[in-house]
Amino acid sequence: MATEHADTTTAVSRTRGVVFRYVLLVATLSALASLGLLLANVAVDAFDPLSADPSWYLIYLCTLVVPSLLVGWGLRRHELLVGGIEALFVPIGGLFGAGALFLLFEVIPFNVWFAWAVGIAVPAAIWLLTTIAGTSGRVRAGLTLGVGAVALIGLPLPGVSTTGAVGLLTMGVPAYIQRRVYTIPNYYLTYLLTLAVPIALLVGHQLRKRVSFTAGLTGTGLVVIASLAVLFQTVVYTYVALVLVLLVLVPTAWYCYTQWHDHPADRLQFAFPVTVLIGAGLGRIAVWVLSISGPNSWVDLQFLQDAPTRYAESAGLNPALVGSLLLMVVVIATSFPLGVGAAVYLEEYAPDNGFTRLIQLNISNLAGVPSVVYGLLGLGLFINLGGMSGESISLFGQTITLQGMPTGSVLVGGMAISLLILPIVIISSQEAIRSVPESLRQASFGMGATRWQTVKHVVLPRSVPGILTGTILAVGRAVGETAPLIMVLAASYSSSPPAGLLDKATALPLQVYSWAFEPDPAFRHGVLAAGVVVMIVVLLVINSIAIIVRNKYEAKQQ
Amino acid sequence: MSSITADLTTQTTKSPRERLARWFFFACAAISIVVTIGIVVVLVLGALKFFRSTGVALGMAPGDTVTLSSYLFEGQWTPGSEPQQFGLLAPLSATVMLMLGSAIIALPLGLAAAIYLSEYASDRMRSVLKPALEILAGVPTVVYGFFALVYITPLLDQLVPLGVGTFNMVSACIVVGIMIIPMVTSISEDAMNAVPDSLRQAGYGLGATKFDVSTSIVVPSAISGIASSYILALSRAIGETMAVAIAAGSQSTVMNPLNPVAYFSPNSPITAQMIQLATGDISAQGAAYHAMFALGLTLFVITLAMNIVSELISSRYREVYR
Repeated sequence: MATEHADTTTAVSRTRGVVFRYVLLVATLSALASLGLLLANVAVDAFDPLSADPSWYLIYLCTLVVPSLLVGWGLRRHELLVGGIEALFVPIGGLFGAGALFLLFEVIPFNVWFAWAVGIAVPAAIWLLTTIAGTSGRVRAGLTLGVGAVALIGLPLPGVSTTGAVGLLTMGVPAYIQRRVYTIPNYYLTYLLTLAVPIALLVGHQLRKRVSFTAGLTGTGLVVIASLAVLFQTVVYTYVALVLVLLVLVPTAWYCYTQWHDHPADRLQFAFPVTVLIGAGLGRIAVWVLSISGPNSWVDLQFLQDAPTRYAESAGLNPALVGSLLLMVVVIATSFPLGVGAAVYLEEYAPDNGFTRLIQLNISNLAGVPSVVYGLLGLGLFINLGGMSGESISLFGQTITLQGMPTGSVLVGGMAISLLILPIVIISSQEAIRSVPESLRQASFGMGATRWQTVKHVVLPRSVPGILTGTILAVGRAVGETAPLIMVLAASYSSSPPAGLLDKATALPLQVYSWAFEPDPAFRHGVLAAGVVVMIVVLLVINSIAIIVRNKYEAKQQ
Repeated sequence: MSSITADLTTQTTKSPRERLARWFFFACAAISIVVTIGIVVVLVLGALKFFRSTGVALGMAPGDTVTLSSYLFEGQWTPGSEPQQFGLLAPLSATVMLMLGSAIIALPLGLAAAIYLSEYASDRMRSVLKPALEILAGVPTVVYGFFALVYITPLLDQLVPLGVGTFNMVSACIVVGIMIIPMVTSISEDAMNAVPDSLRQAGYGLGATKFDVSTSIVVPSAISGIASSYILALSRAIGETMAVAIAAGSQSTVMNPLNPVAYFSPNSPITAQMIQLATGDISAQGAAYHAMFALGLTLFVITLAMNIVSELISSRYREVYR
């Protein structure tokens, strides 16, 4: 208004404003565009799309892309596209879960897995039985913990025989099975007993709650039949097929069943995933029948399954994947309880005094400490114990030789990284806890609840989505961290997957770093790009989990 | 119901369960203080062993160590070859170069993006651009190093008349600059959003254009937030490790950070030198091992000082609007 008037009277030009506006826009987009270009370069190097036959693209265009776009466009007009895409994410998520499980099976031998599963089943059964019997919470917790401890660790009675039933008591179930039971089932049976049975029971239980007892029985029966049916195929190993059935087929079927049943108006949304799946299948068959070669991608199953070698063609990053998975386990196990605990203290318990402000200031400063310094902390504290490792001290008349943790182990690397992300977890959890309305707390106190009861029953349940989202995003950052790992590894990293938490670590970013200095262009533009693609995909999956968790809980709380 | 009332009567603030919960949460919060103390103790102990005067007192062989003055004021950094020399000035000059180079990229772009998001963008545009910019900070730094080495350096090699080496500072500065843009943008934008609308309205009332309001009212009003975002982002650039460790080479020499030609040659900053020492063939008792701690302490002090200055600027010079 004023500007129009000014335009006519003074020499204020509109051009300057418009130019300024577009300069700003270009500046904003330029950074994004440069990242996009770099990522496009990586994708071209990793997938090598130009090596494919043009008819390969033509076939997939006809069978997959065009039908999916048409159906998607049609559904979009009915606002069903989002639901359709979501349905597609269930099997994809299941595939990633199955992949993570296979990586875990590489670390844990199946007999150990079996032994611990049986051990854990004992307290779980006690808990279930006491719940059904209706005993009080205290008795139930005591019985479960007591029996569970005996079942898992055993009673340390020196000098008592370790055979027979007494051995079962003294050694605990897992150790007993590993040492004394000689007829351990094979891979397939182990996973059938430890995975298929609980999943079948869970499906049956859920169906019984939703529909009826017979429906529950049918659901359990269907899962068991599907698990047994994999014996009759010869394409892949039976245990691989079993895990795929349990983690991909069963969740997808469950999702389809519940959506179909609960949202009858939205049934049309299944047209999208069905089109995509059928299109992909048809394209695959057509390509196979006509024997057309697809792109010669560096990212393939062999790349995910093999160990790194000196030759670009046979190099893989399986050990790095296993290492990153184990590191993630350590990071979550240490940073989640500590971070949430600190956030609860600062938001719910802390008095407003100097010490609290000191902790708060300290946390924000810790967030700014360079990651490489955390590596030094891990090296100096966990491994060298501040220079005290290897020295002897006498304590209460006994001489103890101090021994740091093994150099470069998964545990030390994971702990260094979890200290690094701890400030992020604390700050995001604090924000989530702060967003719980004060009136809820007051209502809880008004009913006579103590502070801990308020925290347990009111504050934490309400802030779980925010806490989980923040933690998962922090874990995503932890996966990409390299510098602390290099510092604690001190030049000694292995090319075989770690066998346990105290074994030498290797991780995705470390593998990328070590490949970066290979002069061979096949490494630079092929293997390295493929490694980067795998890392970015892992990060994308972790971040989508965070988004899905947030959306799911937000929908529930409204 | 009866069990709940029973619970309530048995549990008061003084009950063991309440105390246990309180102490557990307190311990979690206190861990952060312990971590800070741990960092300082580990760095200072390691650095003390590195310097001759204190190293001898701590029982170290004098031949393995350096004097504090030679560390601070000399410019030869050769930990891997005889004679071993540890002059901080060489890696420090590379760190300053990294800071200046990434500042040239990140500060104008980050500020421009902040002004655009805060003043010009529609709500819809903002809801797309803000998360998109955050992605820049979410890409792992080792991936940025790979970008610099494999894509940006060959491109620069064709563009620059004299060519650049396989390892060079300029590609490292570019990727680190891109990486810290979101930091500048998010904090500056917060500061600009805190400028009250009445100031803008007053500007429009006086006949100012949107350009005038943005550059003459909003930016000056938010200048403390912008300055603190700059310092924080630069401290992040100084602490950045993997991208420079991959892209900027392994040798440190004293260079003039104000000389543009110097950016086309390799020069390894403090962080990359630490990685270099860690991956090199070092024993846990040698001077190279303790040099890592001396470098770490230097880095920690610099970044901590910058973070504190940024904090002070944003709190002391924050304009209070009501």
